[in-house]
Amino acid sequence: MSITRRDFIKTQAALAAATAAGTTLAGTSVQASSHIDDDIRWDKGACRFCGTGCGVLVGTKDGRVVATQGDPDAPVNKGLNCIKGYFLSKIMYGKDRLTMPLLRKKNGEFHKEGQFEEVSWDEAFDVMATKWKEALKKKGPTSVGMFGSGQWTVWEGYTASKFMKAGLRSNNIDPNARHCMASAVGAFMRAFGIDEPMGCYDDLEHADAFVLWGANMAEMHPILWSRLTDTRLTKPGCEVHVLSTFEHRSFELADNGMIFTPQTDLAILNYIANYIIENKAYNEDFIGKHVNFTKTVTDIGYGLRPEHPLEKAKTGTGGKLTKISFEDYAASVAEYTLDKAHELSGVPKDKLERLAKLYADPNKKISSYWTMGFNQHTRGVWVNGLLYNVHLLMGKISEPGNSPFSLTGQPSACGTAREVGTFAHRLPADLVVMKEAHRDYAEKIWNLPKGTIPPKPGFHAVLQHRKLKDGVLNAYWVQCTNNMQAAPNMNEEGLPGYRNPENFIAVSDPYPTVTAMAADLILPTAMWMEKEGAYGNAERRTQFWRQQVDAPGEAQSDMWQVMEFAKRFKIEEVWPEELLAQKPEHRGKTVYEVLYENGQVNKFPVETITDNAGNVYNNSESKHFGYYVQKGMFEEYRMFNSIPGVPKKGHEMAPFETYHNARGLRWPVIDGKETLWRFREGYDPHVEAGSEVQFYGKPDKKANIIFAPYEPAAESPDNEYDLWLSTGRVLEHWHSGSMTRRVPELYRAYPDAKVYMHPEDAKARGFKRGQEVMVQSRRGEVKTRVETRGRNKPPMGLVYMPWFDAGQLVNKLTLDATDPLSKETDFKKCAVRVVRA
Amino acid sequence: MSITGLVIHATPDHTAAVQSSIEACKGVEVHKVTDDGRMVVTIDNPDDGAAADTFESFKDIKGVLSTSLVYTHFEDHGEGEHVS
Amino acid sequence: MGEQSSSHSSAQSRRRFLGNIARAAGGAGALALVVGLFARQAQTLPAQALRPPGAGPEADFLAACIRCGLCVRDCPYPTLSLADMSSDVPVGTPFFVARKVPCEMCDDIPCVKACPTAALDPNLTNIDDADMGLAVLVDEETCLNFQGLRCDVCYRVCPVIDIAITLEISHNTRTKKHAVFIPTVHSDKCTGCGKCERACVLETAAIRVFPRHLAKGRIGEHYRLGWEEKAKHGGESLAPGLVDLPDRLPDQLPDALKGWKP
Repeated sequence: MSITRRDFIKTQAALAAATAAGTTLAGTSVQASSHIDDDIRWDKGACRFCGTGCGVLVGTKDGRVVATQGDPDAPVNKGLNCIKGYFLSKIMYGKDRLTMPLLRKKNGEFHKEGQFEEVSWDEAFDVMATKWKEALKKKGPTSVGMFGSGQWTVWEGYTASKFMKAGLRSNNIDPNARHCMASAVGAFMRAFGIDEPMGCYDDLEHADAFVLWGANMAEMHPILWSRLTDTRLTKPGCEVHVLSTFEHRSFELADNGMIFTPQTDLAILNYIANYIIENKAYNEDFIGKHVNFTKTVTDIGYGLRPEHPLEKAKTGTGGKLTKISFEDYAASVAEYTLDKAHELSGVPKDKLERLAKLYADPNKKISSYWTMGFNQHTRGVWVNGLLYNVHLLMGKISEPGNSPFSLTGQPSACGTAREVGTFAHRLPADLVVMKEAHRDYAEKIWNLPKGTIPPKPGFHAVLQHRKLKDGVLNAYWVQCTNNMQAAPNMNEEGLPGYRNPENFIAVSDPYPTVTAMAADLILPTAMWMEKEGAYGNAERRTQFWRQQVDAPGEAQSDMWQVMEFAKRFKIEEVWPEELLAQKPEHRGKTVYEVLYENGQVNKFPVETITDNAGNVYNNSESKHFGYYVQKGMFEEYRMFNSIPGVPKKGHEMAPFETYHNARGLRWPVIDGKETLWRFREGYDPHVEAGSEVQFYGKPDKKANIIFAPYEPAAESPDNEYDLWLSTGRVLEHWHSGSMTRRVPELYRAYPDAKVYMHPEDAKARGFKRGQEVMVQSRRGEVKTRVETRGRNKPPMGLVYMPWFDAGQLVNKLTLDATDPLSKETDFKKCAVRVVRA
Repeated sequence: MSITGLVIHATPDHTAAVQSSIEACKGVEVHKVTDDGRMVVTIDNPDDGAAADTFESFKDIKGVLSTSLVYTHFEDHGEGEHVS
Repeated sequence: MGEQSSSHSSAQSRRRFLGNIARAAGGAGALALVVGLFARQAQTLPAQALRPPGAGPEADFLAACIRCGLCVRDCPYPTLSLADMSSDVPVGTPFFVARKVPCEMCDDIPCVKACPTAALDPNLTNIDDADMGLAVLVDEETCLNFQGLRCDVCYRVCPVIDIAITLEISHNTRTKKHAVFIPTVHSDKCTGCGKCERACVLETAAIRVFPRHLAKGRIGEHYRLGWEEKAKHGGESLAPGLVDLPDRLPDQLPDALKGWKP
């Protein structure tokens, strides 16, 4: 990443000498690049980073990915990429790629306080299996757990989820998507009874106006922002409204930019609903036919540990909805007047009114976008729902241009975490463990005895760290995510949990991340193009790629790891006799055999994988296991969403081969056609003729408008900790930076995190720009530098800090307050102070 | 540490031998050899005296026509400072 | 990793420079080389070498700079160096190369404060008024944003973002549904700090900072831009009082001409 000063001087010395000798020193980079275009094999793939899902072409030569390009024919990005996508070819080749399992050892044996030593896969899994079996024997299935990822491929998530829920009978599996869009999921289920957006990216061209709620698309979804910007530029009368708690890059395009006091988005949205009702602008026909009015339980706490004073003080629990009349609803929002919304939010009245008028204009097609500003919110499910309320009141939904759209931050948050169901309460295709009919269906498809899948949801992300710390969860496996850097309140929960002597922590990763280094066992992982994969992006588009190159050393895919680990368990070790008695044919088998050599997953023989040009590709897992593993997993998964009689319709997918021959398809895929807008007749085949709109996720095919009030944040600034802290990302780095910080050019473009602060706030504290400071919360402190200029302009009283920098762990500061409904952490609001370093 | 850049001119028929002799010295790197026997050389030594000695010793190698010092850099603190 | 602020290394620079002179002068056969270098350097500055904030035109600066190295000593970042004989910069004068270490634009401008001779103008008190050079997007063919990609690293890294550099948006005629964001430097606001050149992700930077006389064109005195002159004149025509006769048109404009103004 950097050359030493010595190398630098030596180069200067050599150059000077060469000049004196009248010769030149050939630059090696020049030599390399002059041949780079020869014999490159190009094949399609999907970008490894955000949820946009840009199509790329991957160039391989001599077993190495040497180049990438945006696929000029990919519908999402038409050959474009952001600067992270530009460097995709470098992410697999960081100098510190892990190639061997590493186990903490002392005197040749595993020791919690030992040093990492290279071990074989056999030794790694032997030690790990011993620890898992000890935990299972001592405390049962709730003492083992797994933390996965919206970066898992579709079949990796499926494999892991089946292993935990069916094999080990533990629902303690949760994805990092819990930190990311669990609130969006909760709101989709409450309002529509089915997950994921009704619209698609084509709304970016069809809308007349855009509203950003807690989304900095200019940096976080750069290619979608490019489409939005083009519409703003080329469509007469197009407007862009941007709301955030600080001024960011998306404000540059805003016709109406609004900075609001954190948490008051709840009040602003209720004001807009009130405005629509007071002005009788609502679509009476639409709400009469397609909407139910409800209200939710209030004062529900902040998802902290039960002994926290805020939890003791709460009067409500959960998210039960009560039906109310339209008049009741109107009365509930009536208190959210323009004056009240202005007082709470601090947004000038004319700006609020302009926004309300926009939504209330029957002739304007509006697309609303949001990401973490809404989702990472102690009232995340509520606030998502309040925006649906506005769209539903106007009937501005499920048609081109009228689209409330939840963006995602991970490449397969939708495809894997949500659709496959790797959450602690979920099964594939929107099924949930709490419902007996859903468990029965899963057990039938998987050929398991009734009662195999436990009915109680497992530990969610934040709860996993608490249970690790408390010694309740003892054997734990993290794959494909850097949760020690991501999860909130690292000092008080995450780190003590990992280092608890009662626990054994395994982390699978391509790189020695903060999480890996905190573990007891590190498993080297094949990444991205080193395995055949599939991702599902935010517009329901499922995209496949072939394995382009082999993984370095002994690195193996997450799917390989789970399947191999499953071989280490006899079914008798993990199932009680009453289950075995139901299916005696499983006796004596390993968990691997019961789950994966079940006649379904292993149904498809190994085949020579070729593209349309006749190029041949490797498939490491298929070669190893002796059958086409990815195809078997996907086709079994399709039995949850694409065969007659599935419990929840609307998730239909095409056969496996189809995806290898397409640039991604948006589900439901029915009769060889994609679905762009759901719930609308003519666009969605599930909607009955003559009904116009059907929200068929709900039994009565009506969507819920859900009233929820404004309630304050879990932790607000006070005299001691006098500033709001919001955390987030920068365009140059993706999430924890474990890939992008290993690309020298991206590192150079944004080397270290800093704290963005209002110049007056800095001046009042006597800080000069660039000065080293400590940001402190009640939970920890981080040393960083003050930035008073540049891309982000926080208002007075708020600071912003990105979390990509492993050298500045912002999650030492953040509070583990979560939305009690979605269990998603509020990373956007806690109280800090900034002092001299 | 000290880093020195120099040009060594050797007779063309002795170039290979000269190159291997000087490369055997501590901290010496040959970056380029031209067809007519000129070599681009750096000497990288933590110890300041040694570089001068090394440099002087080159003159005695058979086939060396001339040595010219082109660049010197020295500083009196140790390793560890980085520029990216 | 990265550029740590190191007053230690800056303080070393001057001593190192003096040491180098001594060693080179003492080295057998090197004296002629030293003289040669001095002669060759004369008065010109290489295009990539930038002067600290507050430096005037090169000839004036060289006349006033006493090569004391105090600005280098007081630079809190490893930005400023003193030229030694290996560079093409006049020996002993301070400079920086943007691609290596750009100027961090300190609010209190310690290098200017340190200058004992006003070679760095003490009247420069607001770093935004500095004029170390001018960023120029020199290669539109390799700049990723010109191709429609979303890099714009040079824009986001600018300490005077949205003022010294803006993204000018236009329609991407190839994809037909994306915008193109062209980084556009505004010469009256750019301080020449070099952060953009440093951060450019290309193997060779497409945006570079040059001393202003190399970067800036000059329009001929014999021609004026009419719309700018009119704006300077308060929006009034420089040829006032002229009349325009009405155009003969049908009472009802055909649909195709609705909204049209002659």
